[in-house]
Amino acid sequence: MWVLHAHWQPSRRQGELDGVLFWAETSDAAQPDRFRGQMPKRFHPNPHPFSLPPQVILEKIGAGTPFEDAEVRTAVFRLPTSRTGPLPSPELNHSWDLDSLTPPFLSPWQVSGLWLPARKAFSILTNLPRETRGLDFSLGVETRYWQTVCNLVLEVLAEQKILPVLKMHQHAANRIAFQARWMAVLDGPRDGPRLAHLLAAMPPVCRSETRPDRIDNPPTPRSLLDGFINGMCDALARSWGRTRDARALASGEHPLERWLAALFTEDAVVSNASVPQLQALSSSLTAWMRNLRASGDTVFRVAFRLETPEAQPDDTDSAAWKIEYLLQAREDPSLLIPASEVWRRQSVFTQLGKRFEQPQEKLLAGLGYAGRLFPPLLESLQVREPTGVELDTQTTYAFLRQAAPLLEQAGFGLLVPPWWNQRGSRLGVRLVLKPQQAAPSSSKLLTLNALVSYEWQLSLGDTALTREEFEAIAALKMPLVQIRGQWVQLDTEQVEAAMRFWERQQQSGEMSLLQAAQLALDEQSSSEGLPLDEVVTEGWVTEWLDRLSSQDRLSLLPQPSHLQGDLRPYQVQGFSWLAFFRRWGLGAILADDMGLGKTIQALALLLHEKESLGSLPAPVLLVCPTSVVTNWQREARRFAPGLNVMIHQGPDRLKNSSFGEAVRKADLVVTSYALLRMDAETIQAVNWYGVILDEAQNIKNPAAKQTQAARKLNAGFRFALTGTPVENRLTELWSIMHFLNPGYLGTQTNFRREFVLPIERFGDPDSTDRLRKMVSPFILRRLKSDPNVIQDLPDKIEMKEYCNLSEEQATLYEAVVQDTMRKIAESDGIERRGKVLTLLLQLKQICNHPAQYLHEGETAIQTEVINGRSGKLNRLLEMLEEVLESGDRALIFTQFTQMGDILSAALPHVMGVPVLYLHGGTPALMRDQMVRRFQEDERGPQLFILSLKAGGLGLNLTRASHVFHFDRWWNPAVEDQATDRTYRIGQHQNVTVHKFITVGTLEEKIDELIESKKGLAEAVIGSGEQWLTELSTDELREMVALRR
Amino acid sequence: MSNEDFDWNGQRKPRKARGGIQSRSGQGDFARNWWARRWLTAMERLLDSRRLARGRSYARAGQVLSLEEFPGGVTAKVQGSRPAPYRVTIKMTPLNNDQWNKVLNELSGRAIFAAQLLAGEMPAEIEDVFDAAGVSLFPDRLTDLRTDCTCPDYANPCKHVAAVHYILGDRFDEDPFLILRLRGRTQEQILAGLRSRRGVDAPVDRGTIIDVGDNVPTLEEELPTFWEMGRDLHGFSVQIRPPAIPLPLLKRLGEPEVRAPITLQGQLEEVYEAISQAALSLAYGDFGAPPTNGMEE
Repeated sequence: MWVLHAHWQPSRRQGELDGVLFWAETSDAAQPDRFRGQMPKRFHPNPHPFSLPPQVILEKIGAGTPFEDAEVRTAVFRLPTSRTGPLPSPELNHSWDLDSLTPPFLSPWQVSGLWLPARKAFSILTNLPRETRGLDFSLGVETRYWQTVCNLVLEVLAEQKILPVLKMHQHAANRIAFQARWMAVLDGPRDGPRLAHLLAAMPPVCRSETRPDRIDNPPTPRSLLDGFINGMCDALARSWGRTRDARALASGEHPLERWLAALFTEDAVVSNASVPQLQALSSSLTAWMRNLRASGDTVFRVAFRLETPEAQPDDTDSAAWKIEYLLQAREDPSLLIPASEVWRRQSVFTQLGKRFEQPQEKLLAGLGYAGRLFPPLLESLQVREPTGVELDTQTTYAFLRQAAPLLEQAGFGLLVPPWWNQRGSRLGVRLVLKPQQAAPSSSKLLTLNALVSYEWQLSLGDTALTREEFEAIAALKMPLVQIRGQWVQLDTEQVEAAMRFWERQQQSGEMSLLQAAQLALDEQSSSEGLPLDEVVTEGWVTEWLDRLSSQDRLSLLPQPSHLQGDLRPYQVQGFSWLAFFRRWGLGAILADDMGLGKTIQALALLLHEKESLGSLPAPVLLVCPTSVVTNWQREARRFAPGLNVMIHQGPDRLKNSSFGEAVRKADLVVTSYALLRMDAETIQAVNWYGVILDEAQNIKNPAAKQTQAARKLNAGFRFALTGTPVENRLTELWSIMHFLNPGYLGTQTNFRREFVLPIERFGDPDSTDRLRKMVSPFILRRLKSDPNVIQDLPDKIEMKEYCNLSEEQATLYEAVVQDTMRKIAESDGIERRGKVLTLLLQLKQICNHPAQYLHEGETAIQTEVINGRSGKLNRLLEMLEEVLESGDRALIFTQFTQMGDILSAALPHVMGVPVLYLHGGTPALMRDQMVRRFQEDERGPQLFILSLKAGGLGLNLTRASHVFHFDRWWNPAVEDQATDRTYRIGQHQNVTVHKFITVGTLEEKIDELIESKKGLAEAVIGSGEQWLTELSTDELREMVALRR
Repeated sequence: MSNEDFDWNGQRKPRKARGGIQSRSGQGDFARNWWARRWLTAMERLLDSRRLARGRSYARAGQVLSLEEFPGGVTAKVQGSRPAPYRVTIKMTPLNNDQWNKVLNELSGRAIFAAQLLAGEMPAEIEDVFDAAGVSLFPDRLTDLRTDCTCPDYANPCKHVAAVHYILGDRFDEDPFLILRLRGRTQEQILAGLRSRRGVDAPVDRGTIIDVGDNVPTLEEELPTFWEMGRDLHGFSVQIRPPAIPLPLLKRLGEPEVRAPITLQGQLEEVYEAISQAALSLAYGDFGAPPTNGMEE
């Protein structure tokens, strides 16, 4: 694998362009040599030993991108270095043995990479994937950093926060050149803290470039960040702004036109104007730009604070409101200094680490500028030391409405009363929802189209307004009104919107529950441009909405009487939650952590339905990945033996009408996503009572055939089960929600624009919050670490994962059984015993992976193991995906070194993450290092493969919350010992132990045996596998024969 | 020299100047703000109308090749009819310390004076302040102004001086502190004078000032976190959307005080819109291809 670095290189002299050097480290390079003896202090850089040649970067990701036009350039970086050369960046997943004992020091290294000018580099940076899991490369920390800054550049350009400036360059005493540049103006209310955030975040590697011949002082973060933002804005605006009007400037003769024309040329040099002309222009432009800084400097700004009067002032009271003048720190808006204090301060002072230069003059300049925008303010400046201004209500409203937004844009701080521009202080609408019919009783069939009647009302604050009341208030013609102690604003725009509202036809009617939920849960719901302030409900609608939006107000159902085993309290809650959604005909997602028992909760729901209805009116369809079909069958048999389960799978499965006939006798029909797609017509022809999608991430792609097939199912209710944090993967969330509740999240295009891009790409907190409010009622996700889950859980949950053999495995298995059983029957004594043990060994190898049995070399492992040759490995990969998604850590045990080798090659290859691998041959020193990385390194590998005979090693691996036993020891005590490694002393989390069992093989047979003789287990099989050799040939055949 | 070099009343036409500074006013009134107009009227009273008219057309034609300020005055090069440009000097009589103290005492009484000056505006009542101090701000008497030109014209001020006056008027528009400078006090001196007259006059204790400016660690100091972000970027967010009002910055600043056949808002509106659209479509549109407007090379 390799790591892509993006290094920002500002231009160093005139005529040179700003640009980015893309270079890469690769773990495919040879183990770096170790330098012995006294470390030399080098100033002359050597080539970086494991950097990727630029041509290879081009081959790997460059096709069809601006990389095709890139120049190969070299640069020298001072990098942390030890005896084995430069230390790799943490993103590089390598298996070298590096010097970690020498304290790292900085040494210059020369790298070559692909250089692109700013504009093309911007295109690369914004197009590089944010998520590189599953790819063969990662992004270096500075690449990700500059990607984030690129987002800010896009914001600056989209919001037109750039200005043309004229820059003078003096080369020599007599040679002056002028350039036209675009400059970013980031002085809005959020900008100071955001720039401070970016400055603090900048990784030091950004500053590490130096000259080949001598070491420079590294540039400051501020100069790099300012340079990047301005350089990118300039390069992009220069190219994007080249419109017809821009090109028309080229023929202008006036210095102003010459200057503007140079905003769109490659070299930016202002041509055909004399130096005195441009000096005069420059002086005019300096004066013009003066007010850009009217609000203060980079450290602080002038701020205005409006105080609200206690009570509604008399209309004639000219001093009812007061605006106070202050200075405010840009990066810490809570640091405020009132004007009265400023007049006591001298030319420079510091407060809480902030340096205020010329505070009095900046306050005065700010007031002078504000006075131009808002002349009533000038009156207050007729005294020696003004501290504020007093205003009447009308003027105050003019300030808030007109002057305040302009001042805020100009970078001033505005501290307005909390009610200003808030919902409830403006005209809004209320939605009244009433039952249209009696509440459907839970025993009745589904109420998919349950309707509620609605009525829209105009509201102000908490009060509904009749038309007469509204007109009376509007007639006051007061922009700020206090109604029952609450300030409200009433401007023309709103009054007009209210008029439209009254003229509208449809103020009441009926809507579906899903529509009602949509209006009630989306905070941006509105009507005629008036925001929806409140949803008022009556009757059962109240109860329904209440329970929908608050998962803990659910009424709990008793555990179904035919359920085997006890539901844990959180499982009772989960199944009651599902029943609630079933009752109201809404789809929902049960997204509990792996190991919390989603299966048993779903089965409990089905039993509950069956018990309350007497019998299910139609079967329920369950769709899951092929690898877990058997698991469902076993779980259903174990927990809900009262359900008639039909498996729809295999070459002999029923089709068309015979399928339709057969399902009528079943309560639950289990099939796979593959067959949902292949037998779409057959399955869609049935009217299902309900459908449940397990591992619902399988329909994450809205365009995929199986997603579309799922959407076309006829079903009374729809549920999705998944263990991945679905709320974080928005396209997947949309697709699943679209299956469950079509239309609720709008069209995919709108959803992408309103949520996916703002949230995933730009981290927009408003959109995140809005979406969370809309979808969280439909998702129940409990984590094992939740306090009220953890108290219900034992320290260790054991689960059996039933896997199928692949065709290849089954064929091999049967051939070996047939061949070896014949030989066993013909031998006896020690020879027979040896043959039996060999048979067992071979069968276990086949159950693990054909490659293990066939002793395939490592080359085959890389490419072939993933091609579905092992049912167990397939299942393991699926489950590890969930582990990684949830940010958990897992141990994977196998008793075979060879299987460990296969896993350690396959896992990083398929999942794109590093893994640790410990086997019998690992030296003790490395073993300790691995354990430390797993236990202590925040960014260390999440997966740890252990191939070792259990016992005696005393490893402390308490950070894992999942343990996988890829194969079995047949000895519970030995298995437990391995498991216990993870939750010995200091363990604060629950551990889920997954034991893999291949269905129909001796693994399952022995497992059944152990289960049935739990008490005897120790005595009978405690001694290992010897007892098997004592079995008669028939008993042995019975034990190992494959049951298909 | 041919006849074309002379105009109707026998005056010699100046040589055509290249790269000169044109006054902002193409026709009609010079000066935009009252104080620059006030400056010009003051000067206009000191010159005859014929020289003034010539000076105006010199200023409009860009005959003033350069203009530089020195303490208490300005020098300029003006292209006349001879090949070598004339050198013009204009000096104003500075106020003495006493007079300045009186002016500053008056100015410090009302914050509006400093506030407006700092915001680039000459306070409307500033002349009253100078009057109250017994001095004048603008050159109302010949003794307030000393002018000089290297041209052969016997009259002083001559048309070259007039031309420079008009160009200087443009500078006044841009910078109200200029005339105060010509009267002998820089912006910094005036501000310091006002500051010392405000508040409790605690002396500046420079010892307590801690410089918390760019206190940047060396790369060696950053070795342990060389490949790490100093702060998690998860909380960092941007909102990519069109501006609430188009051209927010140009609207904030207005047009620069430059005489030109175009305005910034007129010429750049389409440009800003195109840039904004390109950014939006890169953010939300097809990520494969950056937008080009069909205008890329």
